[in-house]
Amino acid sequence: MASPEFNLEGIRFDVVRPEQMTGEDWGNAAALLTNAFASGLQRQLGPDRHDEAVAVANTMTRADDFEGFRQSRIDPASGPTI
Amino acid sequence: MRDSGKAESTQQVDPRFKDQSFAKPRIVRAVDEQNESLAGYLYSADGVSGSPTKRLAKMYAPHFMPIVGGKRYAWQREIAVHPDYTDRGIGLVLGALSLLERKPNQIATAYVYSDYLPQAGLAMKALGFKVTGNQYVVLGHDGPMAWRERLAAPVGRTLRHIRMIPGASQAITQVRSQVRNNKA
Repeated sequence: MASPEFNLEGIRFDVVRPEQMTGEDWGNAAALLTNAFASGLQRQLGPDRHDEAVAVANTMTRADDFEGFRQSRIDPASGPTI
Repeated sequence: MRDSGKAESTQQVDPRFKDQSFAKPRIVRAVDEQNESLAGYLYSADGVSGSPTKRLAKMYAPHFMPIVGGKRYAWQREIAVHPDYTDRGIGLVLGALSLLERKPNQIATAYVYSDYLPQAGLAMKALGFKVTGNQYVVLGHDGPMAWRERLAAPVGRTLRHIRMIPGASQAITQVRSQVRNNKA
């Protein structure tokens, strides 16, 4: 599968519904989101502003309302939610 | 009177989401098989906004219907690739798998913070996403101000853009087959 653009060796993909996610899965997703935000922010702010990047990344994840959204806005049912 | 958890959960809704409804949520994950760690994650859902009546109409109206048709957006809520796994095409595959869950004529949308994380917006614009709105927003309740852009593009056209990248078609075909086998 390797190509100049795609190197997916050893990577497994899946597509799941929210109700298939465990508490640990959500924790890992939130951590990944914050980690990726922090990494991107650090590239933008510069290496000497690591603490600021982490602080803003944490704020961004909170602003994303990760917890609140997943708990209150998504109906586990597969059909449309109104 | 509404009962049980649904009514209870509605009370927790953040005021920012009170005029919005969502359906068909999907999470796409990329996992490193060697250590089972999460390498990538994407959350998407169909989203509509407006009054309850408008939301209902937008959710179910045929695409061609004036005013409410075509307003059931394929919202790409959040996407992240672990810094150790970037530049491997994982984000593109996450995006393709997410869009393949939607209808080709749906409009995919995403919100990006272009001051703080310009890479995300640039990557999406390279796939044909256009800016359809922007504004300064406060991050959370007490965070700094951030310039937020709304990006939009048709699902089918975006998938064609992704497939034009060398190696993408083959990668997506193989990953889709893997995902189907895991579901089966």
